Amino acid sequence: ITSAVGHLSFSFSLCEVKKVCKLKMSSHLVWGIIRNNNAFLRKKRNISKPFSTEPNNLTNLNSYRYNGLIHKKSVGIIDAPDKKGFTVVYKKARKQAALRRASAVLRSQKPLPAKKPKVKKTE
Amino acid sequence: MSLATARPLVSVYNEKSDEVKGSSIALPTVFKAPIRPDVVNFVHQQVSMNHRQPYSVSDKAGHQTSAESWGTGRAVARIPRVRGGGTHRSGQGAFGNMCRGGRMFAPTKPWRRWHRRVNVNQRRYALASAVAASGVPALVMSKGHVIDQIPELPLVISDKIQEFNKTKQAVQFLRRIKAWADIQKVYKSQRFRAGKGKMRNRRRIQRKGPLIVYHKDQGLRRAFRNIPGIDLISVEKLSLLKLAPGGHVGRFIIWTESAFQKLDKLFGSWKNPSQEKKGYNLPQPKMSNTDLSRLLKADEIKAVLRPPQKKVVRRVRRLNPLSNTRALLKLNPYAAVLKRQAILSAQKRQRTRDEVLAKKRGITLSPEDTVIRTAKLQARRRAQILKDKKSQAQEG
Repeated sequence: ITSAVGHLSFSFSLCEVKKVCKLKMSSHLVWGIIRNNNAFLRKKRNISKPFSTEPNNLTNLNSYRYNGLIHKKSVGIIDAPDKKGFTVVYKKARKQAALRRASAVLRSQKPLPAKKPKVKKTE
Repeated sequence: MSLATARPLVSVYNEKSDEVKGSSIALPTVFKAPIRPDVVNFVHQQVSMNHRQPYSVSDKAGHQTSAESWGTGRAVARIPRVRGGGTHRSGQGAFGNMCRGGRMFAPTKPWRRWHRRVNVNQRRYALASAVAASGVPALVMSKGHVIDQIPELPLVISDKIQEFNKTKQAVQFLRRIKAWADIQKVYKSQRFRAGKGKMRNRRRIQRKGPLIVYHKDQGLRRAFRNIPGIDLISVEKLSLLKLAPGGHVGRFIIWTESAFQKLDKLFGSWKNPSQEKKGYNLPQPKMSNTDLSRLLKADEIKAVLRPPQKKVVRRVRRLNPLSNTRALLKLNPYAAVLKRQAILSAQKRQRTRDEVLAKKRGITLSPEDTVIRTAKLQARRRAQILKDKKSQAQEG
């Protein structure tokens, strides 16, 4: 059986690695602040679990587990720029290097090569 | 894992949004202050009352009549009525809040307590929290600011922008630093206020954009002030109303280099008290390590806990033994025997009855009839049993 090269080819891309100063901001803390009060929250009538429209949320539910912003690592799936298939966006966990010293040497993190095209079978 | 005294380095960007190599500032300790949205909310609420102007009704309103009640016996309500005659107004009710042209209930007075005082320490706590929250990208994004493309958070720019004096330069800078998207959002959010505020000089409303905190204004204010959404503030005069608009933490703040460096002197660290605020030290957090997941997995804590109860015990529906045989059998297993016996004896009785009746009526039952068949079956069985007994007795 030959595997059909699916329409759904997907590629990986690193989400814009913003250099964030690694603060002691645990995801639990941030969630505690954000859970009932943020710009992405969508509450609708008669729906007990609110939705959330932030970018890296896989189920669009407003929950600790699926929130796209608060975790160190996250995965998102968006349309590929050429409209064929989808792109997986991931957020790498920040290295602690910048945290350690107060000396002048700043190690900048090189973003990984942007796209690793992988062609997989159709879902 | 105590409060990390190791502070990460924040790189400074120049006005062309290039990273200025070699120039980086250690993160001021304020950014590690505990974030307390409840304190911020409370202080914001109180402080925003301080800009209010008193309003009240005229104290003469409704009393500029010499009305007097007509008393009883005149077939009218006893409300004070306007004296005299010759005009519509005569005889109308006056003074009461229910009367047309009367004074309102509890006329508003200018000596209402408009302003609130807040404890200095609380005010500073709220400020520190607000500054700390502005350094967390999750919080700033959740507040709604569009900061996907900005190079770093907290965003520190070289002092060059303090010398901007043309709005054109300001716009160009914001574009380069990728903060323009936030301002576009402000543009898109410009709309008319809902409600009567429209006619009360509060016609248009819009979102808040980035806040620029500077140290020395050398034209900066004038360059940036016409851009919608932007607020300008000096480090010396940080205001909670600007740092946490609406009482919610997480405003997008753009710091100038000298402003950023001032923060350490302003707030100090836990070890060193602040140099500018007399005797002030940053608030102590309640938890030094807020990562719940790691805490709960830690060995020291697990050692003290009882093992987790993974089995989910669900509620079992209680069944009535009087109507549900299985429930009855659970309680009284012998009931099965009793029931069976009852059924069998009932059947037997029925059969013998049929037989007797048939005999009485002189009807011979057909061989397919149940009565005959069961009689035959039982006879056969008895014979079989006897045979087996005999053969067993022979073998044994």
